[in-house]
Amino acid sequence: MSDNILEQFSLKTLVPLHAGSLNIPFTQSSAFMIAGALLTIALMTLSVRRKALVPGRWQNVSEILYESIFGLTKEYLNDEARKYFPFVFTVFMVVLMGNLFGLIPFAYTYTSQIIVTGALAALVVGFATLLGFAKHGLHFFSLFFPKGTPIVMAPFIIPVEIISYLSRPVSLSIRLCLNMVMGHMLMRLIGGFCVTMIALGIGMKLFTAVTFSVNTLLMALECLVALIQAHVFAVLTCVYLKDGVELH
Amino acid sequence: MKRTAFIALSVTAGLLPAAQAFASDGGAGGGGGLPQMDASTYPGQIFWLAVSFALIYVVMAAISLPRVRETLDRRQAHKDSNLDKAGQFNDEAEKVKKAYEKSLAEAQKKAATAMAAAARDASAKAAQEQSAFAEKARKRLADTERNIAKAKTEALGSMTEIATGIAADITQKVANLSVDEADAKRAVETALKEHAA
Repeated sequence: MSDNILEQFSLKTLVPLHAGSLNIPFTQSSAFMIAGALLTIALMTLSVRRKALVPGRWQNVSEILYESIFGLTKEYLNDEARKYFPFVFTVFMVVLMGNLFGLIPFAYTYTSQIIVTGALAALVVGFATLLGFAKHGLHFFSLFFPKGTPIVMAPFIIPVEIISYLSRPVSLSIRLCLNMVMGHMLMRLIGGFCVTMIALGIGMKLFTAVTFSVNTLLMALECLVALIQAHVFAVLTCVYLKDGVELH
Repeated sequence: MKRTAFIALSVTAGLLPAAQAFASDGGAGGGGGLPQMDASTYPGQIFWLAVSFALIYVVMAAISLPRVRETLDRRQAHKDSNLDKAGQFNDEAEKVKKAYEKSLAEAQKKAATAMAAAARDASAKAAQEQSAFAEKARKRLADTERNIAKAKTEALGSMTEIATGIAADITQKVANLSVDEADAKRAVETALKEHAA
């Protein structure tokens, strides 16, 4: 086992693939992405196959996922909720699967890759921006000058608003990515510590037990963080979509 | 609030070892830092992300989510119809209860009327009987009184006769005079009248 705690984030190519001059290898990260997609599809499709009036366990899981994310979408987008709900739901499930898969030992957390969260965030903000222009045309720029602001404030407000708008994808992607990276680094660090101490042997057993318990608790915390971060991502997706759909 | 606290906690908890890791990496002068920064992996990662995203989106939008929606709607409809039915039953029960109460009140009223009528009848009959009895009793009393009076008169009448007989006998025996019965009777009656006066 490598002592480098960053080693867990490196990609390993399983199947080398090329699209023209582009190198698109099927890595373990890709494998977990596809697994996450398949699991999501299986969960959301097979569990409601019977459309039971009294849901079983799995159907209950699907319904809870559906209702929580639909409730969220409804809260922000009201009447438009149905239209954008599949998008929000997909974003949520992609993030959730990445976060949760990462908690299985030896699995790869694809949401710890800044390019993955960055691409997702760019998709969300890009989609919201496109929606804004499609719905309101050039009026969309009024987003950068909130109603009721004195006109003399314009030179200050507008740059601030533009910067804050542009920082949306940055904060969105970095928040998720760093949460995952830090959590996994910490778990790997403490886990490696346990292993080292066991290797040192005698007298370290009690200390190892303590550290191991800390890691167990950390694991529980990370489960929570995984859910919360997916939720936060979905909430912000709704907020940004709302800006695009409704302006202010 | 709790959420923010947890995020803050996890970030701070992560920052400590991370700083250490970066420091040691820098100290060792090798390692190349975060694998996440290797831009050569980006096209591949974006490609597979797009594939899985599209896969989930298409299946969710076309199949899964409408199906879950349908299930939820069906359940809601089922619940609503059950509630409706329950409401109807409740209304019906309420109606039956009202009808029952109404008929009960009517029956009570009828019973009260009947009872009052019966009481009136009974008292009327009693009064009638009583007056009839009183009449009869009075009649019988009057009869009796009349009989007594008659008997008295008779007794008085026969007393005059007896007295006449006795008076005649006494006169015969004492004075040795034969007295005409009619004279004796007249004398007795005169004496009685004087005595009564």
